[in-house]
Amino acid sequence: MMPLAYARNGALVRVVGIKAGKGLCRRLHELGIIEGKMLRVVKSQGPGPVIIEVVGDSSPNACRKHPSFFNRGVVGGRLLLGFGVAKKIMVEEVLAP
Amino acid sequence: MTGRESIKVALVGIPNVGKSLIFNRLTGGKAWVGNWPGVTVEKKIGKLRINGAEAEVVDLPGIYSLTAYSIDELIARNFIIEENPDVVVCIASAVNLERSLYLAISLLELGANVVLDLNMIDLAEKEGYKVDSARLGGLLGVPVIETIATTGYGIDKLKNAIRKALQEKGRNVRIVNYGREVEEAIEKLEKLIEELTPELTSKYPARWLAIKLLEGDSDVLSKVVKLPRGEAVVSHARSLKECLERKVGDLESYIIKRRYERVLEITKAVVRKVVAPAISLTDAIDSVLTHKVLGIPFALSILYLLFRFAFEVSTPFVDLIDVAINGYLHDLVIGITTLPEWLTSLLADGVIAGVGTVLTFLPVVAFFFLGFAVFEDVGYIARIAFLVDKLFSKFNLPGKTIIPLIIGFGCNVPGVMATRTIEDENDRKTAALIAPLASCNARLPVYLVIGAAVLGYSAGFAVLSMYALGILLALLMGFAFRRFLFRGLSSGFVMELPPYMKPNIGNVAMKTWERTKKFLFKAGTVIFLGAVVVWFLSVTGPTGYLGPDHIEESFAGIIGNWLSSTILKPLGWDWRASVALLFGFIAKEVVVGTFGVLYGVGEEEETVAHAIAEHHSFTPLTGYAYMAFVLIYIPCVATLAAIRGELGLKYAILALVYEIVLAYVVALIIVAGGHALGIA
Repeated sequence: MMPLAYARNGALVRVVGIKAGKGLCRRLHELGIIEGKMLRVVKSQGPGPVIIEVVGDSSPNACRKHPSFFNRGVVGGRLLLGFGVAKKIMVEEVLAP
Repeated sequence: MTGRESIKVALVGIPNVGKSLIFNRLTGGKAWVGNWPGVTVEKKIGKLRINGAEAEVVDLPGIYSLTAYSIDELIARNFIIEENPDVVVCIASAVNLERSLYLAISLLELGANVVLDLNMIDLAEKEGYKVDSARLGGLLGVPVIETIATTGYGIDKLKNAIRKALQEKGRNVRIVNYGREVEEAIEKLEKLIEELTPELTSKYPARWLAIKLLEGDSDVLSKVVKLPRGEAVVSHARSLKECLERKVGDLESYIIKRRYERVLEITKAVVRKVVAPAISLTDAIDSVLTHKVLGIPFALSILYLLFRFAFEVSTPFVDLIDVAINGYLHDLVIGITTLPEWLTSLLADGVIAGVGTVLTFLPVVAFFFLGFAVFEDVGYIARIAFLVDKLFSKFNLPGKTIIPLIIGFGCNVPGVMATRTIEDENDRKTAALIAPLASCNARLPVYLVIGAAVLGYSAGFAVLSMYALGILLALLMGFAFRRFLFRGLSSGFVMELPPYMKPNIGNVAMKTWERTKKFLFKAGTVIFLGAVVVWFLSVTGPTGYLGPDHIEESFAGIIGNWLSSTILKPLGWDWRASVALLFGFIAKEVVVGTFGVLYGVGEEEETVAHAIAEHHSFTPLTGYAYMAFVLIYIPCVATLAAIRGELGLKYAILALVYEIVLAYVVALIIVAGGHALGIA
């Protein structure tokens, strides 16, 4: 487990927890960054701000079946998370770049 | 349709879905722009013709949901509840479907009469998939219209759908199933609300109220508590919430998660994979432009390009305005001999000269914002926020702060206003206070003239150093404000990052105009008044009216002399330099003109530079310190007015005071440091 700010370029990570106040937690939830969801790290300045895509279907089965689908993760659109926010999102790496 | 005279249509959407373009397509671009009551959030209203009747189209702020957490969301939510628009057009992006649908679902739960506009379907196809809009409409229970705002595709269908929706209201408040236990609680609360607080259910769907009470929504809680039997409802809701939270954890998060699960179900059902592109163009461009090492140099050269573009392209226009106003119009007024002398002077030297100086900047500012809007529309500006975030976070500022600063390079007034997009209040206030430190277009002529007069070959470097100094001071002051005034850590920022796109002419024109307009209107009002005050100070003295050629004996001259012999003495500037600073308060470009008048050589930059060099008014060191002082000393009157508009009078005064003190300290450090190093 590590903060999202430390994730590697191109890695697929799973959100484990969000260590933030209620307001930010809610904001991130509403953006689709929810515990259990997968994120693709499009760009990272490790450690620093990150550009991510929220992977639409995060079930392991779907990821195995449609690699291209989750690799692109397009239905989510990209989000830029500042360093401050990326530090508060705890993730674990699921797939190395 | 209801019996009201006017039909109301509201536009809602998450950021970056092309909402402004859809608004323009629907209304033909004509809009009335104002503010929402009590806040500085912009309100745009346009007209749309439906069946011969006129409908009012209201553009609501770009939002992700309808909580009570941000001003924007409250505005949108209150508008939908209080004004009860006949149709709410929810604009969704086909390339950002999940977050768009989350908002659509929130709107449905609120009981809005929704028409879903599925925009950017062309981009989805480029990404390799299609959205089945008919199926989507079936699942949501609302009409879904595909559009491409950039080309106008589907707009007529959208108008038709709005027309139809006026007759048949599709309401689908039961769009999400929150699971058996929570649903039972919702049902209980619904009954209680209908029984005890029927006042509310005429406006709000009871189910929505019940969900919001369980979520702990502060706005709804306070509304219910106010009612005679509201207390009972709230306490019951509280006990239900506690009971549920023992089973599912934080109820608010749980409810959001359930909504997203529903969104995912819908997305899965309607997204059809066509073909997946191997690597997208956006990824390819981003691998260079957001590169760890190369990114910043690229950003700098793009900024440089922006400046060159603004200055080179605008030159003929600047000359034209200069000739028309400062030449032709000025001479015309001077030529009217029937007016009393003081009135001619007021008109020619006060009003026309003042406004003329500002208007000659209009082309530079306009072209700067044109270039900026192109890069913004392409999607590049958001990337700059990414590039600088790590550096900025060391100063406890979010990377997003760079955007008002870059806009401030054009003109500080729209720069200060651009801080509105920063969500966190402390971050926003800090950004608005440091935004005037971005070296705007009006300061450049001062650098160029002083640089040419006393710095010789190092002038170019000196000018560049001013831009760097401005940003450095902005970071340091930002850090200080966050440390002492707006305490606490920056909460960071989250921003939508759109794929790179071809710039759209309509969008670019609209954004350019919106920012340029802010500059223009300020010039027309605040700067106009300021110019008159300055004129008055420079033509009158203790003995009364003096005429335009006796500045040294005028009030302005007296103040200038006093300044240069007391406070400004350690900096080594003469009375002319001090008078120029005094006048520069109106608008910094006035400084050059003032020098011209004081030396009696006209306003031509080259001759002014020549005169300054001849009179030995500055040494290279005091000249450089003067440049730094002009960069920092006060935001111009128009910028102060903008800060007052955003943050209130107290903070405008703070900006005024801190900038004067900072300018003085920096200039003193330059002069004293230079002397210590043996530089004259």
